[in-house]
Amino acid sequence: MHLLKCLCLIILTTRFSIVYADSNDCPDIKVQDDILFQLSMQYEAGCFGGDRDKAQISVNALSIIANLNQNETPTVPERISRFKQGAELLTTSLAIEARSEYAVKFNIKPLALLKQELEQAVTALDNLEPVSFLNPQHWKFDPNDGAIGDQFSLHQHIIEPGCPHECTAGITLSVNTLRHLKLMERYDRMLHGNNLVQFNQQVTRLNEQWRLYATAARSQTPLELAINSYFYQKKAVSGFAEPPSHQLIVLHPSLILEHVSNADRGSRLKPGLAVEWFGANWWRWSEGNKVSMLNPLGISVISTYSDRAGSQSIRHGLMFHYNHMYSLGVTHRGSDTGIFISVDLQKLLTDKNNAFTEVKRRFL
Amino acid sequence: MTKHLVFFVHGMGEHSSGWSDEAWDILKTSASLFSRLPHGDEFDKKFQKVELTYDNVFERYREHWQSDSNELIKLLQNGITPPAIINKVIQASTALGKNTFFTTHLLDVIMYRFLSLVNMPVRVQLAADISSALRAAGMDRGSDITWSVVSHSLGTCVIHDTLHYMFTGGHSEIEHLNAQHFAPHCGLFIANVSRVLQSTVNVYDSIVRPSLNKKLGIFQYFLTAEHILDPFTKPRAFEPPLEWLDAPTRAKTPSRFQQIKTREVLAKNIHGLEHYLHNPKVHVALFRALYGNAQIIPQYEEQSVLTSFQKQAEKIQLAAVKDELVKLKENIGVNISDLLTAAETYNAIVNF
Repeated sequence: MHLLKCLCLIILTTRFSIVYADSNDCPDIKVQDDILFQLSMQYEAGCFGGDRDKAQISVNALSIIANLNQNETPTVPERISRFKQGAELLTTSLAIEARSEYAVKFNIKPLALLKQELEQAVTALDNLEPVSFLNPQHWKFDPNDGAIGDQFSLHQHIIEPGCPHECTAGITLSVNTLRHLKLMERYDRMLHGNNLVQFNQQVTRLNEQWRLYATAARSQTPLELAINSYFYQKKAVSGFAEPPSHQLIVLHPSLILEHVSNADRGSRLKPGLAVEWFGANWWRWSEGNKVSMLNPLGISVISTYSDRAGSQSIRHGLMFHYNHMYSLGVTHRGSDTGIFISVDLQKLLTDKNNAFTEVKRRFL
Repeated sequence: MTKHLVFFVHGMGEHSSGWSDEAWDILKTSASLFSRLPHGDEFDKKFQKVELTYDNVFERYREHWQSDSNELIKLLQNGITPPAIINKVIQASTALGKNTFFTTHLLDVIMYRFLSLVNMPVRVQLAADISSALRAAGMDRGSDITWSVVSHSLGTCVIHDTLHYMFTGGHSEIEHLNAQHFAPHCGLFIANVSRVLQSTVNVYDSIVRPSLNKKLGIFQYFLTAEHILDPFTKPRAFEPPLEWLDAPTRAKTPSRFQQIKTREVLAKNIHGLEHYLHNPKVHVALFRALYGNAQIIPQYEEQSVLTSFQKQAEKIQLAAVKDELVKLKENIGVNISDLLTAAETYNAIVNF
């Protein structure tokens, strides 16, 4: 039994290794073996309408789309023009196949219907009808049962009518049918390729916006992230969306450098803690190819906490934000007025000292 | 030949470049056991791995919390006492910024499930990466390309939501992809948690299902794999009703929707992507679906490989771990909180 299994394995390996051998050849379909399986393997291997296909119709049809400009995105008119050229080639070829002796003798309809669908697609394109020009559902090949779309079966409608006496002719017609299915699939995708291009461009832009939202906008505490998520939720309910163009600021602590002119000498300029009780930061998203956040501005109601001459000083005021990074605040307590600056903390991470020096140079 | 792009989507936790290499090697090695599948270099000509990552979206926020709280704590050590509520905010940032199992793994799940400002950029990033890979492969120019997805754990939910948004209009601010022309071929959802983490998209109502009609479902084949001891798959298990498949799709043989159950234990971490892919029940089903052809692996070859695998599994002595996992799965509830608790217990058992 084991010997038999091994033998079968060797035979199968030998037979099917041909399909994957480093060769452009596609072996002949053998009538005595499982025809459908052989056809489906060669379909997968690119023997019909793929890179291993040496049939003239495939070479000609693929040469039309092979030289689409690789560096630039093909335009819609260019795609339509190529599609029409290919469709003309394929309809002519399908007409010949549909009139073949075997197809006529056994009244085989799929090829004629494929031709008809291609012609309708060209007419729709000429009339600028907003339709999905071809319907792959009608001609998708299922290797398991040999179904062609939702109407035909390769086995039942093309191979079986002629077997056993005219199997070879049936196989030839099956090969040509699969070849045209594959070419139609490739042309159909090429025609609709701009859908993928546009989607990719738009979603890549959204991705960049989200990257900026997380990295360039003011940092958010877990609490702020939860609150801002809550308000964004409605927008995110269905489908891709751009990030908000504002942030709510709630209970946000940050490091500041505060200057109080009336404080004791030596403790006028002190590092401290600013607590933004509530506020908002907003901007506009740029249009066009370059993604940026335009005119980011913000304001919040704050209290500052600092240690001056051994005792804690608490002051209240307003904080103004510019460009997410720079903040200037004014506090007041009694007759004292304080001014402070803050540099968003994660911006300090890379070069804290330089950032402080730069801000001090600008504002103080 | 038709080039098949296989996208890998990871689960919770940090994943750096190359995270899917081991899984890919398992598939490649497994393919070499079957006579009709391509071997060695031919495998790489036929299939192309495309690795996706999204944990950087979670890490962006965690890194901010870590750096912010570090600076603030230094300041507070200098005698400044903030209000109690601000102390709590700082403590929360500090705790969530630290690297613990909770923050590096479970927090991913919580943030993805509950924070729209996190789950949206995750979906957008995956959609951008997928569409870029399809364009790079020439799918928009008529190249002979098809693509499939292998997702794991949290990744099953993430890719479900992403694909639904990619192929349905909804309230999307961008044009969606046309499923007739660009839909994926096969989806393998390993340790599927898409239902328990379901948020904006109802998993049973979405377009992420198999169908012959691309307006109803984007996949040709939809596979789920679940290990009987895997605790993550129990809360709100993915078990769609019969009508989830439309009648013509339901009539197809082999089934376009397959629920693969595995029971063999080769290592402690039975939840791991690699542990699943190693099992012939999973990779045989996957290869057959990738080819859309059950005959690509004859039944006698499948049986031979499976028997050998089961014998190998029998030799591995992990009775104590199995007992603990059985108890864990028995006691797990149905909510997301149960899922998180189970994850912590699971980590204590297998340390993954």
